[in-house]
Amino acid sequence: MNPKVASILENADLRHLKPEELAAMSQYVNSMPARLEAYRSLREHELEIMQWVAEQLQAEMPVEPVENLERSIKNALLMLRCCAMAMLLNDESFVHTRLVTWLAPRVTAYNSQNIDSTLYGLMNHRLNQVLGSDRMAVLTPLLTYAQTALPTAQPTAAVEGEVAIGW
Amino acid sequence: MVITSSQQHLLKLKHPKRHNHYGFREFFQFDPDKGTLIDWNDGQNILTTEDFIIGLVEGLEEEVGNSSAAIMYSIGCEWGKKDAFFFEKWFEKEYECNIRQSNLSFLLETWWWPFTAQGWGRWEVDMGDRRQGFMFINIFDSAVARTLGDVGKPVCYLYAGLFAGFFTELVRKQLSCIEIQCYSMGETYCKFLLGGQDRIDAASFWMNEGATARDIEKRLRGGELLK
Amino acid sequence: MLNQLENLSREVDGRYASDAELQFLEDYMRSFHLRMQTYQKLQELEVTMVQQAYVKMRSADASIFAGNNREETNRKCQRDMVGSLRATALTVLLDDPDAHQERFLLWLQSMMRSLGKEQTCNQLYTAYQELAKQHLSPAQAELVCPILELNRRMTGTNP
Repeated sequence: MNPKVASILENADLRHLKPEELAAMSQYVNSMPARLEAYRSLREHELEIMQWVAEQLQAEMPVEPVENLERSIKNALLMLRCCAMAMLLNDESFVHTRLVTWLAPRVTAYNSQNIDSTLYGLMNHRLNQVLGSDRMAVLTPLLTYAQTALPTAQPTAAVEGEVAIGW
Repeated sequence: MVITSSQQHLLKLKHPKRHNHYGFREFFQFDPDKGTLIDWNDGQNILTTEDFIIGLVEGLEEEVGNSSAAIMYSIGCEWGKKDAFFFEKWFEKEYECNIRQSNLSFLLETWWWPFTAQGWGRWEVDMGDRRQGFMFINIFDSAVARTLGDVGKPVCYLYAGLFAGFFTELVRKQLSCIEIQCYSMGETYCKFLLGGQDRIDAASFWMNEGATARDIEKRLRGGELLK
Repeated sequence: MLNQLENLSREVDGRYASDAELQFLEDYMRSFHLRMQTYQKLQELEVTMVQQAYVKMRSADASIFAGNNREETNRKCQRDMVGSLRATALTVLLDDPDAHQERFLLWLQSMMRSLGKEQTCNQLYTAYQELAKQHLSPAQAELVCPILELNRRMTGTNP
């Protein structure tokens, strides 16, 4: 739950909510249409986005065993979906408890940092292209949090036009 | 259940006088980093599945056969006894009132709420026959019975022992408890008789003869006892 | 809504919610302004409603607030009356009747039964509903009364 709102609600049934607390609540609810829009858009386009990412990834890392690439892609899908929900909740800690805590040791165990780093670069690039900056405005904070919290190198922003396969 | 952790429940520290704190999110405090789960009364908890209960019951049966019932009952008694002291401490702190000066019904409901929050089931206490030295307790959604399903015999020995142990400490009289009706026998809820040993023995005898819970209730209320 | 959203976050673990699953958010957004308005109105009316409910209940049944320690009993009762109105107001704001039941009503029900206060609860929530219809707009009362009725059904005796 949105931590700001959650802390407002502590004991809120025994006291009055203060004006600033009601304002925070309003702010959250007023931001919901934009969040829902981004959520639906991501849901609609995830497949095409990740298919492109998978193909690019394979092209950029041809010697990497396929199961390693698949593992990273699967994890990236879970990351996307988790961040999407966290975006609805406006809650970064959701990403921490539901994703980072269990995924971080796996990244280390499988040593997938390099693949992940390349993958994130491709994914972020494609997301921006397909969803547009307005929708990404609400999603990016959560994605950035996830990607920097996991044990990877800083995701490199893919440079425009420099992709293995031109589309 | 009665192991007090060294950790403290943070929400309780902030709102110590909040009496309705039995919602899942309020009552339990998860600490994923430490891997601990403490409750409002700073007791340490573990989450288990039905497999755990099955393992416990069947494992015990494998080890000691028919004595498993008596052992579960004894475990329950020990638990109840210890819980009485644990309860007295937190009740008196929360309500600033001695447990023996509190309204008995209110006290008992407050005692059982943590158990409900923990998934032991909801209860109903019938103290109508208290003056005659016995009472009935109903349990809805017994964790043990619901897990084991319809096995054709009572299974809630842990509960029976818990009630015996707790109430013995509370009223400072030796009390025993027997389950006279069980979900695991096809009933919709479990019923327990709490009272002196003579009453429990009588009920046990009648049950072996095929008496139902209703029969037992009737006989006890009618003043019947084994000679 | 917040409670439902939290439940949803668990249910859709690893996938996306469908439009049907997200419908409650749409409904909530549409009703939010009215809920906020109603919450603030209930805050304003709190003292009035508690006082008037108290008067209604005493005129209907003088024994209702009698007790060994009259002043202490009254103080506790008034505090509980305020508490349940605030819990109701919050439920209206958040549209979370299930959370209201789980966090408050189930516990309150067992406590009220243990103290034999079902009749009092019946009268209280009946009084509150009358007062809600009197003081709130029809749209606002329509949000509040179902929660008050839920309170009454859970804690009061069945008529």
